[in-house]
Amino acid sequence: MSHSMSVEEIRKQQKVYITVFAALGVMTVVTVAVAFIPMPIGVAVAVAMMIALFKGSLVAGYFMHLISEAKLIYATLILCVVFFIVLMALPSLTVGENVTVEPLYSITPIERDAAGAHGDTQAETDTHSESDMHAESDTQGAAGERDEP
Amino acid sequence: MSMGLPCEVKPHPVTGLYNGKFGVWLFLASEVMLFGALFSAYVLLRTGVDYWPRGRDAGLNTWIGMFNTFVLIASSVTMVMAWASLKLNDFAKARTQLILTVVLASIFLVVKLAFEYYPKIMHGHVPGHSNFFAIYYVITGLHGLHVLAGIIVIGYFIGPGGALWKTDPEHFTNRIECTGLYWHFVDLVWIFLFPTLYLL
Repeated sequence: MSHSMSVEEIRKQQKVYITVFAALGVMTVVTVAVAFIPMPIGVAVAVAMMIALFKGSLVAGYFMHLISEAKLIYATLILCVVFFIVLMALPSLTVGENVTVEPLYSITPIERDAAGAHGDTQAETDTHSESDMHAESDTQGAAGERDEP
Repeated sequence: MSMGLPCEVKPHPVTGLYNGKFGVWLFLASEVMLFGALFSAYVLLRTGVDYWPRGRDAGLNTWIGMFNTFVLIASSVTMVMAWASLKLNDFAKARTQLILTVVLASIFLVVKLAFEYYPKIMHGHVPGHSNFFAIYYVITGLHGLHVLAGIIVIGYFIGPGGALWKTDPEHFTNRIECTGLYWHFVDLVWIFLFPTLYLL
């Protein structure tokens, strides 16, 4: 941002900030509204991230003044984005390998052990939806196989 | 007139920026990697299981999350307006806007702690409950700490740090701009966090 902005330019910028605020508010409502539309999870993720990216670019461009920033900042951020993409892509390297993640518990190990100690035959369940839930973590263990796709 | 380091106020001849701004952007780049690593961990955890609950199915309140999003965005607006007011030489207005920023940030933290964390912990949804809540508490907790740090820094400039305005107004304005960059980044992280954890 230039050091020598005129009063008129600053006042114009203030109106831009209010406009961006309104746009961010509207997009937040849109984000929530879209989340209630039934759609495949992949599509939902893509739509949500696109809206978040748009909102983020408004914040970065206007509030952080990136839209009129020096080239050195862009160079720094481009380098950062490259590494960020690598970071987000890293989990995909585990696909196809025998790398597992401890499945989501229907009950915690503490609850399971407590149920076993008291001779309870039915384990306590939590508030998660039970559909498609695999709760055999105690039989599979941390090195359990992932289900075949 | 600043008697400190060179290029604290006037741009550096090579970078074209004053030192603080370049420094903050470098810091924010490192922060992107910090939160990026946590998002990456979230992706790994989520794709590693057959079932992952939607935020609202796991007990997260969408409306509280949406309210907090509005609050944080509003605090970002007041922060940048404070910088604009300083550029217009209106210190009193800028100080009011900084106070408003701190108030909004505090509302965010109070809502998060009192209406989200506390009921969940009372219900037994602690980090050890499941992978979902483990990553939820880590990401939102780290973000909350960043909000708290922002409150402390902005509070400093409302208080004793404001004395710099009398001796070197341009330097003070630059410091508020740098603080604003950090604050907008905190808002930006939440803009991605909210749909990821609460809506998907």
